[in-house]
Amino acid sequence: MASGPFKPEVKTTGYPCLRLEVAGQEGATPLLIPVLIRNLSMGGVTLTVTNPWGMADWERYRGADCLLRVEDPQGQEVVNIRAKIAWAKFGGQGQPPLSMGLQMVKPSSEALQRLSNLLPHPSQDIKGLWDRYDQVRKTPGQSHLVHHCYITGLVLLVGGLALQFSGSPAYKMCSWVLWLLGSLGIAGKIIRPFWQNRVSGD
Amino acid sequence: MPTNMSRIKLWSIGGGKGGIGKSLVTLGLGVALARLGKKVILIDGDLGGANLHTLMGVRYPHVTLEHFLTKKVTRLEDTVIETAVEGIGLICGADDLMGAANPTFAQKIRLLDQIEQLPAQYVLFDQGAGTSFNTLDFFNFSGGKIALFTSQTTSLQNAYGFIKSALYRKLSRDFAKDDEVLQLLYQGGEAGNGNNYTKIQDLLDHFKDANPGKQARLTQALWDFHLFLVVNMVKSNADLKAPEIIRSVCRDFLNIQPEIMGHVLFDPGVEAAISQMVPFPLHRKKSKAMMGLDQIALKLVTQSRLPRMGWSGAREASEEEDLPLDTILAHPSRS
Repeated sequence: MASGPFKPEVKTTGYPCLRLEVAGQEGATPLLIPVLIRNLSMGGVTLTVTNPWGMADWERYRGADCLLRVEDPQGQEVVNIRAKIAWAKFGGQGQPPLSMGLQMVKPSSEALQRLSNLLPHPSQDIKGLWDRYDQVRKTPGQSHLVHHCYITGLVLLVGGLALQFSGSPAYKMCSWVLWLLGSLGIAGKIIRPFWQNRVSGD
Repeated sequence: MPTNMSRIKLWSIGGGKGGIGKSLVTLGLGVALARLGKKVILIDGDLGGANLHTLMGVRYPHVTLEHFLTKKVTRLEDTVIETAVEGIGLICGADDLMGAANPTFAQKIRLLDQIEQLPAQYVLFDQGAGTSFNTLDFFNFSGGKIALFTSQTTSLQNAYGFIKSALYRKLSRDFAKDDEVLQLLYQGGEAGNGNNYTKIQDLLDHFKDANPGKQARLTQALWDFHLFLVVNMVKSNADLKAPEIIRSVCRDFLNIQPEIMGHVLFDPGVEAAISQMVPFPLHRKKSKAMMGLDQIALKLVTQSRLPRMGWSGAREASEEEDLPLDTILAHPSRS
């Protein structure tokens, strides 16, 4: 078991890269606490607060909304990530004084990337693996397009139906065109899985 | 150093993670090769957890690898049992004997020697899960190496870990007497040690000026580690990106260029075949999974014709090299 005082692993080069903003006592200025990132998942982040002694009763912050500010010494734009404090606990000897888990609220991929860059000594190849995995997941697939076609198809069908009841022969002609286009949009959604399987099989 | 630059006969199917379909792919690949008119022998290399025979519909194998390892049977050829599929012989794995799961170095050498003498054009070696030295050694000694995985995140990570472990195991054997390379190699593999050798390329760059001879040897060792990637249980086009991710990470961090050999579609019929103890390719006339395996088999035949380094190209290692990795690192000169 490790012993001795906890030493932070991240060199902050004298500039706090990551700060947590939490609401203080009622009416007071929000607390802005320098923190270090320990771990990161798709929705959660684990942080350590190296100097929590000035702030008492951390337990009461459980469930509180907060803001994680990712700042960059090189002057890059500050990224703010909305989050909720899921847990906070004090560590023993040799452990970080205070650790806390945050549940992030819809973090952007850029924000995750910036946080990921602050992780202390990640295995570079595993980081590379997950970066590529995220990149592949992020790549907009055809599914969005097909979904939009499907919705448009439905709208066109309803529009065509409305025109059918309008009575005018000219409009009725238009309604047939709308129905045809609408049917194509919906058919695309239905046919796609079969087509996809065929492509995979090739 | 003896080299074996003949056609590749022994192909290993590994991947680190359990439950990704290594045995099923081995079986399907065997059937596909047999359908091409090739004589194939499957070896269940999952020592300690053998089940390839069950997938082949053999409930009570009368002879297994255990008989060969314990010298109850002298020739490996005599452990081959005929199966329901014409052209395919099977060597069942050993899972009854304590210790069979951990063959000694001498046993491994004897096994590999006799695999080369088996009366078959292709020998497919179904690897067990995990990254034990035995698994890695059998994988590395095979002329044809197939890393199998699914698109699941856990499988991706394990597949990369398996490939990296196999490569590092090979390099630690190839450079067993070179303390400097070993130290740099394994210190570089550890996170947070403060040195700059996070990629194999960093090592190559280091030796480029310091010792071009070593750089050439390292480059050759990486070149010899020729690897094929197969993704199993593909359900969508997105799953086909998985081998590209692995290939990209391998290229950037390990300096190897794995080749994507193909993919196998997810096939619910496979599960039904397993329950009925019927080899799955025989269960249905047109199995979705078999379509991909047929194509992989064709590629395997083509690749087998290309000369590559076989197991006998590996440096002869001493018994001491079966020492745990940390022992080798602490006392590199011992091995």
